[in-house]
Amino acid sequence: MAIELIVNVLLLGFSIFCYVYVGSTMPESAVNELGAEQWPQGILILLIIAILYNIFKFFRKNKMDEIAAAFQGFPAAIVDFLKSKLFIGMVLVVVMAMAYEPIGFMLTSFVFLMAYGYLLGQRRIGFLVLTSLLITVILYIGFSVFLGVMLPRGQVSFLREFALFVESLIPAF
Amino acid sequence: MELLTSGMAVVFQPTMFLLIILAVFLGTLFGALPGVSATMAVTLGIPFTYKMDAVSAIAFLVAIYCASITGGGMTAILFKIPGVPSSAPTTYDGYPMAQRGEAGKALGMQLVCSAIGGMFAAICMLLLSPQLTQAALSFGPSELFAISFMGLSILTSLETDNICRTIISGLLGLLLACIGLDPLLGVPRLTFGTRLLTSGIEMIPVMIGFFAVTEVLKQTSKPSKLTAVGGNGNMSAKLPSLKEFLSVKWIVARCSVVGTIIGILPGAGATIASFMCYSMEQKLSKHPEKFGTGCLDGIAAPETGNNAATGGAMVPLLSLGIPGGNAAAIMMSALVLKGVTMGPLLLIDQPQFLSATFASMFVSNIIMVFAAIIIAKVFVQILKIPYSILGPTIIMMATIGAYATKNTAVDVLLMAVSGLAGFLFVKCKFNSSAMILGLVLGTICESNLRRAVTIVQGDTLAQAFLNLAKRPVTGIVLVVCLVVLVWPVIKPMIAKQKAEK
Repeated sequence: MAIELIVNVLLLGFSIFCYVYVGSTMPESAVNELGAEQWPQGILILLIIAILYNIFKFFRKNKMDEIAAAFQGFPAAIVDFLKSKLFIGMVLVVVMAMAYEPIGFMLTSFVFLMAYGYLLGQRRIGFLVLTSLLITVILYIGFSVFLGVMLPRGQVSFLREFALFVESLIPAF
Repeated sequence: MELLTSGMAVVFQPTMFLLIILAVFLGTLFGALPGVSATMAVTLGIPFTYKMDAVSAIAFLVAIYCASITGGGMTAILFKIPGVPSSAPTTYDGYPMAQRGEAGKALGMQLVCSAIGGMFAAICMLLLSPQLTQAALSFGPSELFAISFMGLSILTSLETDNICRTIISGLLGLLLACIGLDPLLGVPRLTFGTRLLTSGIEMIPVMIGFFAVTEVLKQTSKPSKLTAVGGNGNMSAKLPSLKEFLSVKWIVARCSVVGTIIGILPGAGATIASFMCYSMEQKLSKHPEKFGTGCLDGIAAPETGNNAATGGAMVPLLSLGIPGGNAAAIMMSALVLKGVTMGPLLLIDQPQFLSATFASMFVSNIIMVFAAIIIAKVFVQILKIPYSILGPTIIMMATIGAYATKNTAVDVLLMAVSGLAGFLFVKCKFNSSAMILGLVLGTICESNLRRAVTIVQGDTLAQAFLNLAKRPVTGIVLVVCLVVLVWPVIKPMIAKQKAEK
């Protein structure tokens, strides 16, 4: 409940900021012209109205003491969330996305598949290592070799050389 | 006839034919796996298309789309869990039949009806798209704006009990589409001084994030378990006998027509088609009490309807350049990425897009029956793949798709952020489909409206809008849009007033 209200208030603040930002950074159009700034401003006005109505509905639907209780329990809920599988999953996805280009596809994919698989409850480490390796190789051969999709080799020199070495092992098609 | 032969020529090229078989197997498999929707199946198919030409890419994606809708029915029958949302009504009769030991019969009927619905819709698409294109050729920016606005007007119908949040989601999509250089003057807009945003928000990574990464995160937070009926591993599909098929022939005929029409309407996709066909056939049936107890009619209706909707959804995309739903929006983004200009001129300049789409739909609906029979045999084994392997693999495939968009890590990061935003959307009960619809239609709506306002002219902006609405086609379409937009809001009010009386 608390997160819903917080997200709505943040969206409202962001929308107002964007409205002012568009108005102050873009040239003003003529009175009979639909300019580049007016389309987003129109959308933002509607968005602000819709969010305000949504917040109004939120307060109408939920009693004040319930909202207060939700906010009191919010810090504890945050702590629980930070300890949850979901949060770790989110962190893993973001870290993988950041490491994808510098470290390269092969290592990123292998480590990510293992880490996320472990997070999802797979405790047979041997099975996890084997399947992660197999899937990485299948994805690599399937996309890079057969379909010609570019996959990053990595920017760190030894990782890049390793990727090139692995590529040299696969016959060209 | 020329269209037909050129389409078949594209599809029956050895490489393309193999790719279509691959697409059908992938689509059926993706659709059958719970947690992988038809939209996600098409999204995961995108990286396969990067090295294909645009015509082959649409043929490939269409095959995945059609097959995934059919695949979804398999889990609906065997596990009472619809693989795709449009298979939900199939559970009502498919699962009771499976419980009675008639899983094979139910699967067979599902496959045959899906194939017929899909092929009927493909023929309709082939016949209707050129007519609509011809009509659209006389359209100017004002008419094109009105038609693209029609796509947005269904926002309020996407989730009738959550209209406000759905509108917010759609508006957020429209706002995201504003980021970057504005489409007419090239002025940077909402870029916040960073060069990264100058080229705008890339649609494909956002869609991949919202539809693939979010789903895996949802499964991470609340994993779902599957138990097959009987659990004996014998899930072979058994094609219906002629007598059984003849008993549902009128159901198949009616639902093919209804499904295609619903598919053509913007936003009303396979899910609405399958529910509508099920309830329509229940009302028309001489034995409505048998529906829900495990009858073949209850499988034939939704499965014909949802597959017919796939063909219908391609009509506005190919003839007007306006996606009718999420899957069509993803296909459109994939084509735009290949430099294809969507719009009425597409089929005039390059009719092979229509012929290839038709041929692919037709052929894949036939291959699908055999592919699904094979998959059904090994289905229980496939579903034994633990989610701890499947989930991360989906994310890695999504990552390959996002990176290959422009070969930059920025798109991978955008996918990841979109995935997290998508999860927050789910938590706050916003509507991801509405957001994507806004993102896809935003630029089309804006550029056509601004061009139209410049053409019609007026002393003030209000005068220009009035002149715009005075154009016959634009005026009529805008009135229809207004009714579609407002009806879901006022309908409950009217019902409430009636109840009070």
